[in-house]
Amino acid sequence: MISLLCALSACSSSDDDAKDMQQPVITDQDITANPIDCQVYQRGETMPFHYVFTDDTELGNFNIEIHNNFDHHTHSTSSVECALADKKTPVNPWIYNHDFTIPAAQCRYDARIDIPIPDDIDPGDYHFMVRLTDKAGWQQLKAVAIKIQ
Amino acid sequence: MKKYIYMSLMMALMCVFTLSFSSCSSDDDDKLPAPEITINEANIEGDELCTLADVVAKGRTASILLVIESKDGAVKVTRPVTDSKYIGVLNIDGFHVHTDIAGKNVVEGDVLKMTVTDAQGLSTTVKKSITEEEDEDE
Repeated sequence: MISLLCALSACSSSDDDAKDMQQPVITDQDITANPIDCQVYQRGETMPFHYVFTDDTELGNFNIEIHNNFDHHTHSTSSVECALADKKTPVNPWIYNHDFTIPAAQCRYDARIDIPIPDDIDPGDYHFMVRLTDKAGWQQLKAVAIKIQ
Repeated sequence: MKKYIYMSLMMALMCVFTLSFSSCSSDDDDKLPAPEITINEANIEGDELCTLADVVAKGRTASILLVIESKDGAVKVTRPVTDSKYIGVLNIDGFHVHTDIAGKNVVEGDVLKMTVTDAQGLSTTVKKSITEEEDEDE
């Protein structure tokens, strides 16, 4: 009995991390996800972020970043192409960058964040970036092209 | 009864000795491979340098450093990247950082060096020639 307990308790946490070889997943399955590619928002309104995160072992944390795409760069995580406005130089672009924690021991998390859109930012094309990291350290990126009017 | 207690104590002692000597196996394993970096873009956009890259770090990222040098190796800009989303992770898909280069005389043909060090202390540095922003879409 004692031997069995020793064998089971040894190195349990590091073994769990080592076994996790899969990236977490950002999915819109069974929900109305927001934002989606080419979605249009108005300055001054609230963007209701909603996606579902899953992982085979345990979720860790996530980050949401919003930056302008006035230079027409790409992040190659979506096959959808939206019509872009002409290139322009940023004057007062929206920059949003926040980290969020996920409660411990979760393999599925319904992520909902209300993000107020400032009313004095440059309108135009933006990228909405979600980075989901699981407890082991694997990271998944989802980049969504949106427009602010 | 005494024999049973004696046997139990011996088993417990053996277990302690075994764990003491074997420790966790991962401690004794060879190091994980050094980080791998692919710089997809190092482009001047006005007063900023846009860096796009992908990173795989089986030993978890511990620090990231961007250095801009002239062709002859003179350092123009040094930028440690400390964003928590990029540190302590096994992979970064779409690393995207804008570095302020205003007044630093960074020009097309300068070199971006990106160094990623993992939690084991292993470092990888890759270089990419810096380009200038295109005016028109291709």
